[in-house]
Amino acid sequence: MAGKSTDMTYRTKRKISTVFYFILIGLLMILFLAPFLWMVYCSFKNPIEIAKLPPNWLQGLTLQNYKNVFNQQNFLRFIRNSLIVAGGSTLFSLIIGLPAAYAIAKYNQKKLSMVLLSARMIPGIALLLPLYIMFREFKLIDTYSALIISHMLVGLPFVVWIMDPFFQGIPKELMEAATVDGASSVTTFLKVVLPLSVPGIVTASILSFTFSWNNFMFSIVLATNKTRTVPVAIYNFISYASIDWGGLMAAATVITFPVLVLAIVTQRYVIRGMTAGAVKG
Amino acid sequence: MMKPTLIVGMMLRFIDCIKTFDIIYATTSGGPGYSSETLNIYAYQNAFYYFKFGYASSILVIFFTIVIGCVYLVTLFRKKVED
Repeated sequence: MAGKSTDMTYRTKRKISTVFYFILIGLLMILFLAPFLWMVYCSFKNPIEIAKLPPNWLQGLTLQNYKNVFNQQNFLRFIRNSLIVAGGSTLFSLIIGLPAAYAIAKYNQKKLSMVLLSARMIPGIALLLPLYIMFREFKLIDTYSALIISHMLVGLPFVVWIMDPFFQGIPKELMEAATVDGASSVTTFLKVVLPLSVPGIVTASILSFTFSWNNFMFSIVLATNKTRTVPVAIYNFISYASIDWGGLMAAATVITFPVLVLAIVTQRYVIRGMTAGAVKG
Repeated sequence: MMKPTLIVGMMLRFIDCIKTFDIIYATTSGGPGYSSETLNIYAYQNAFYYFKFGYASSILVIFFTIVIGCVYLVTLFRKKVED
């Protein structure tokens, strides 16, 4: 592309704008990445060195924090809890949300989708209070099902919200062709529509999973000892007497890692899925 | 051209911000004093520290009305911009 252009001024202009572009991106990256990198860096330092400003960059580096997180705090258990809750809520959101979104898209139920979207506007804690009272009556506090149901309250509208424009984008002729060939509407949905909307499904599940993984408010109320998820477990590093910054940072790094890998691996899908959702605006 | 989309983006972001709970709870939990106490935190404390569920619920109904009111105003504004 660059080889074809012979106009020098055009080229230099282009070069300058590229440089400018990267400088801007760099500035933004610093803004967003600095706290994250600081967290990773602090997770390798001993408690005395963490508080020191300006830091001695290479002194007091240790792996002790990570050892503490996994040996003393039994962090693997919390990670397993989180995986069960996040996986379960994502799975059930997909099972219920995909057909719902398909029906909304096919019969063009704009009002219904607005009602579902309003679940995004309700403050989470407004849902949490009645849920807490109900779960207490049903003796469901501190069970996986309580957490999964509460996380689905946000995951489900999310799935519908993202999948609705996806299903609308699939040409009507395809579904008609399937009907002509003798497929019932369920078969059309399962064999024609779903395979075509894999990018959307991936996006919806990633976002729903990440939300559930990060969720703090629902978990701190509905989970106690048995089902404590990672964000709540991290919060427990902050006690009245002292804050174990090293352990906190190490644990935060550990739980950020899987989400980060997931995001990087599926980034291509997610961006495509997000823009498909944004067109509605 | 971009105005309606920008307004929707701002609206969603605004809702997210007004709902902020975990950052406030984990850093200050409303303190020092009551200086960083939002409606969210206030309702949470009433419900789960003092077990005044009715009071907390009514706070949240008001909170929800505020949010819906803001969204409605923004929607009206957006219609005006689009026309």
